[in-house]
Amino acid sequence: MKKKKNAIHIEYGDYGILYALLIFWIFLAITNSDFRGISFYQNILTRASLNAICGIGMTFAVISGDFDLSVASQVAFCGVILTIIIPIIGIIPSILVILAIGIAMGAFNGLLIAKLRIPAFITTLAMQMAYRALAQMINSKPVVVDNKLFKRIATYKIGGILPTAFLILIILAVIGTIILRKTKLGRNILAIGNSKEAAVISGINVPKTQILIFVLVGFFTACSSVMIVSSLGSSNYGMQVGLEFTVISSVVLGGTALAGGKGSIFNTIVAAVFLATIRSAMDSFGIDSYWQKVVEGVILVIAFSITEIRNIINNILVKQRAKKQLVSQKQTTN
Amino acid sequence: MKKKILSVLLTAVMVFSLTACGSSSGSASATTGTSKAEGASTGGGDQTASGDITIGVSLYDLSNEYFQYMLEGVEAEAKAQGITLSVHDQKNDENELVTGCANLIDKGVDVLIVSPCKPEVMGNIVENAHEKNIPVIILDIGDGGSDKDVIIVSDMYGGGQIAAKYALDLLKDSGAAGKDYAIIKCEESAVYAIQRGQGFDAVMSAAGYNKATEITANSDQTEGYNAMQDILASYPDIVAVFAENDNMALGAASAIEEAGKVGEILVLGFDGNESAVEAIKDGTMAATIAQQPVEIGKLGVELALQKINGQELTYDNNDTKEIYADVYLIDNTGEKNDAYKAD
Repeated sequence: MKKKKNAIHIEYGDYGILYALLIFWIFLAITNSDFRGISFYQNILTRASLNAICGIGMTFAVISGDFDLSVASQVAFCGVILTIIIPIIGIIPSILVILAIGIAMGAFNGLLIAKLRIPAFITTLAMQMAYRALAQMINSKPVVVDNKLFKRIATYKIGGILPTAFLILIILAVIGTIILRKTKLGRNILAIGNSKEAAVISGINVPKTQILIFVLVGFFTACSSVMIVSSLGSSNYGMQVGLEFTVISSVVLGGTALAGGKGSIFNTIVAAVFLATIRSAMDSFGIDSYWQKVVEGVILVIAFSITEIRNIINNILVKQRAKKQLVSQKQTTN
Repeated sequence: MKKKILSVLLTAVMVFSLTACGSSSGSASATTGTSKAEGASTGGGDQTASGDITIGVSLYDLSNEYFQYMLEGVEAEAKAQGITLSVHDQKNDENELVTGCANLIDKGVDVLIVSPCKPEVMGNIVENAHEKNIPVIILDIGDGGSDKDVIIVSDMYGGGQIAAKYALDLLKDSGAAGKDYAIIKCEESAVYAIQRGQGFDAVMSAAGYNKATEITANSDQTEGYNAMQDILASYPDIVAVFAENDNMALGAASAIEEAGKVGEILVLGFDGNESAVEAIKDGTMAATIAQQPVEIGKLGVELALQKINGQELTYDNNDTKEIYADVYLIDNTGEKNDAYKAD
């Protein structure tokens, strides 16, 4: 079962996006004084964590060859309920309720996809509308959270240095990585992403795995919702529109192929930080707002074509290696 | 060796995108023809200003004309006073609003001026700013119930009054016999927008006119159209309709046009959008009330200076810490008309 590693992997261990981020940060720190203080990076990490937590779940979905377009609406639905129940039942019970709701929403999406065989694209697009409409029915007005402790969850900095949001992200990412790499479920998800037919033949319960994938998406989206509401200090049924694109872009920019079969939660997180950095940095470089949108569009295109770009680079590397071998063979024969 | 190639490739893409954009921002503003687009390019915060005062400005969405004008006002006043600006564009994204304001606060600006894309987020931002003794000035939109230092909003109630006074004059000139009018309202959560109808209502009823009905159309053009159809069906004799924004007014105007009643029913809007001005010139709308984002921006910087100098601000409404910016009438010729004032 040992897969032949490709040239890029051998050379760089798939850390390309991490190198890119570090180089980008160094570039920022050199060129602009705004980026030399620790607080800029704290704010970036906090901001990226909000999306990246959702990205953990999305990574599972994309690895399996699907994606979930309803996450933004799930966040809004959870968020609206969260702000209503916190004053009534307290912080910890509220969070547990929200996680349960997230799991239920994910399971419902998964059931529609796996049992009724509606493509994930259609199902989650439909649910995107439905969950947001439900959120609006529950409360059509913005609600402000009046609980200091809850608002600290995403905004506190441990020892004045480490943002709690980022710490929570890392803990959840470790859990996610263990599920992906060390459990049977993780192996099944990878197998389905590689080839659904092969997975069926090898006796994997594909529908059950699919449902569990969307349960994971729902769970991590609910976690994300808690962090987002904590950071905003409020909720609104119209919140986080377009989150699904930010999240899916960070997943694919992190090297998880949209076709499925491979991916890394670690790289998703790095890519989320990368995207957050770009968004926050553009104002400081005096890029006017029309061009900022162009840049974001270009990044999206790069993100979605990253697999192909990698393949092209890979082919170049393979050719070079072959040439080198040829040269060294010639030298030995000479 | 190969490692270098890959890293160069990866960074080249990003660096290229950044430099490419930086250098072409000038041409972008030239092509838009408004010269407001270059606003964001002063955002570096590294300007050489005589004073050592820095004001952080975070605006709703700088690709929206209204906020470009607002920034223009802020920049003009800051330049006149020798103040350094640090400009942030929220891009209509609440996460960006939070992060951008956090960055400005951490940077240690002297005052934070915000026009929030999601007002309800302001509570947290104001708390964080006040922890560092940074006053917060909100421009327009709403305060989300936050403990801000001041909010500048257009005089919505006064705008409604101006619209009504003008409508009364037009009705007198045309000699219309009917005394009924209708109001198409924005959604209830738009707390400032709904004051427009109240101002209109007050003047009209004082002049002996009678409000036949009011319908909420969620600030939306299509819903405004539907609302007007309902109104026409139930109250065919109305002589005027006031919509609390131009989108709904345009919707109402098309419904009236379809019913063949252009000229019989006056349509008045609010906002002063270009499309509304077009409709006025076409004769399907009678008038609209325009806001002055440039003035709001200027006033924001003036108040910021007062706050830095420790002066007490004089509010138009002490309970809500509101200061009102003037609005003006765009009459049925499609031009600004200063003859009508709020009470």
